[in-house]
Amino acid sequence: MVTGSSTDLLQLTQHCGCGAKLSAADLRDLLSTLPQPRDPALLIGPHTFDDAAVYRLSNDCLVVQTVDFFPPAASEPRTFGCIAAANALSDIYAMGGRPLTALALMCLPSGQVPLGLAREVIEGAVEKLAEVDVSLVGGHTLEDPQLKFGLSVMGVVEPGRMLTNAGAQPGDVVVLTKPIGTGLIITAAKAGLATQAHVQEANRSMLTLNRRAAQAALEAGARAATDVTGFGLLGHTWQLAKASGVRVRLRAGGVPLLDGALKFASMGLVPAGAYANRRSLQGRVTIAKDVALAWQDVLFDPQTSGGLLVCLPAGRSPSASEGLPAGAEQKFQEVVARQEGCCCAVVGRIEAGDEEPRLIVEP
Amino acid sequence: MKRDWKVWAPPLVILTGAVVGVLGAVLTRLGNPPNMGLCIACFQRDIVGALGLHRAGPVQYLRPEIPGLVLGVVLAAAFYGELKGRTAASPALSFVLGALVMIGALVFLGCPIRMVLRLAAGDLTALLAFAGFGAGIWVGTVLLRRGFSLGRSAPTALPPTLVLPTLAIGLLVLVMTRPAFIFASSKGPGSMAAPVLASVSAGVVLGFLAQRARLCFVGGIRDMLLIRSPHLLVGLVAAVLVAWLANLALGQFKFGFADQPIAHTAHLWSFLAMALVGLGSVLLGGCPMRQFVLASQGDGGAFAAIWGMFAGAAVAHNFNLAGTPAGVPPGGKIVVVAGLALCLVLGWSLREE
Repeated sequence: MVTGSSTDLLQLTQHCGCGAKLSAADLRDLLSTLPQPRDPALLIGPHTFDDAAVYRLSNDCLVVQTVDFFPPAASEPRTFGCIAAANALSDIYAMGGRPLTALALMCLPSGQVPLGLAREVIEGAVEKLAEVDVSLVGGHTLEDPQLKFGLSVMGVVEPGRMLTNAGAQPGDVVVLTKPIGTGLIITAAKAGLATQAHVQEANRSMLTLNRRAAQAALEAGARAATDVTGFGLLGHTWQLAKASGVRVRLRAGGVPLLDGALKFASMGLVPAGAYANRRSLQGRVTIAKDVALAWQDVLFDPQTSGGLLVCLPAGRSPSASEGLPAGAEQKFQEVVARQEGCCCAVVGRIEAGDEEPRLIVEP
Repeated sequence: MKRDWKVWAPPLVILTGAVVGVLGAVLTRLGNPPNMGLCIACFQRDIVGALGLHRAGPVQYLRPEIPGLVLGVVLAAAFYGELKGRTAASPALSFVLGALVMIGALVFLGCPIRMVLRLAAGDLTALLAFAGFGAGIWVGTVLLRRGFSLGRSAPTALPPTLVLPTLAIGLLVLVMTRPAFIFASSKGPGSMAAPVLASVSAGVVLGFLAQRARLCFVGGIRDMLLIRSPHLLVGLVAAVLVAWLANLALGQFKFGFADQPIAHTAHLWSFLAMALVGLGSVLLGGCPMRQFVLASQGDGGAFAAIWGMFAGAAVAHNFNLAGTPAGVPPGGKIVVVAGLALCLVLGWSLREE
């Protein structure tokens, strides 16, 4: 079993990582009364549930902006900081952008968590940002009963190379670049039931940046992309389908899982966020009867620093009829699948159809 | 802002708990023994007696609730595509743990459902049992954190999953036809029964809901201890509250320790016996009702566990281990202590690599 450091951050929180996010249903309710922004320079705003906002500064400069912060997703402070940074950067990459600067957000129960430990969290984030030459340029801290940390990240994206939720076309193939199940593994780690191997595999996945996957997606001609985080694979797939005005047929058996995720789901160690995600998608997803309940729990499992869900144009060659186009497959697999903690799994296909349920899950 | 309260108060789990509470009270009013409207352990014991596998005269009756429960689960599982065979990871150990859980329940005189119903009827002797139940579950979570596992199961063919529903139908045929070789108590709890149709219907409804809600009283406390999730615990709370209200409405509430129906005041042994039930159930992966749900939808490990429970019921009454209103016999005390020790040894030594 995992034995944490002298302060196991997971024991300081009830909800972990992106599992602490407000449910999609609550978020829709929260945003429903907000007026639509009218600035014509705002290309992507809050109402399309995309990964980041995009603002046109000039014809050749689009600014990408995002924020992500949450309670601990790991026992060790430095690892938590690294994961938080990877998670925040992922939103920029999911838009096809390049991050430039980051601001840190920290809520700290100073009576419970010493400043030295908090420093380690920030150092972890800085270490991860340094991998991609992003500078931490400031931030904000608050005294708070619950430890939370994250980043607001600003970057740029080239016009014409922007990836959004909204570009998927019928016939596209849907690819996932990381296995899912981080919410279940983190919950099991919190309960003391996850082994060191389970946690290391989950951490490896969460710590891997989506930068190369995003680059490979662009080079492979991706039409839409999103990163998979707190709303779970099904929640983010639905958002992509909704924004693109299409239907997605997902094959549960093709979804890669972290080792142990299904076992912990079968034991009922399901984070609350998974139930919230399931409720948010009522009436919006049809799941085949043959998909076991534990499998469904994994598909609804809130992810922290998950992979990219990428829509690629389907291949024309007979050998690639069920998968990726030959050239794109090769490039995508070479770049993505070689990365530690990553994979290149074809999980579904885009179909025509703009009414609910727009997400069909098959065995 | 509208909170998604349904995350913390899942309607189906609460409904199922409430149905347990209502059925528990109503079935008593319709004729089941006092504070025993529903009891997986007691009803299995009565069935075992009716089949002649023990000869304790006061507790012999083919309880229709149990086959009804099985059929309700099978209906739900079949409709939602969850009727799937799985092999037993450790059938022998599941059998033994099932037997120990049953013996513990019969020493206390009730499974976790009956414990809740007794509490809701004002029987304070169930309080210490509840404390023991919680303590046993806590010890179980310590063993889980240490890596306890019965091993891995694997998918298997569908036909074996049809054994239990077939037996359930057979049992219902025996209930209807009442052949001479079936024993039936003329006095005692086995002579008290709600009408067959009501009992079967109650079992079917409970089985259907319990399958959908994944309700488990042990799981509720376990999850609260492990991951601070009240998702299943709300079902237990709903059962207690609704049963309490129903008992008040039906005039079935009697507050106190003394002279409670089909209960004893050997508090230490109620505590230890339900600790055995709690610990054994955690090691099995669910309470007795959950074992029936899992077995009915094809789980081989749970299948072994429920047959262990049947065997445990026979052993308990053939060797005078079960509690009575007069107290707990020496044999019962010995087996409870030995059972706790055995569960600790199994839990400590069986770890997943």
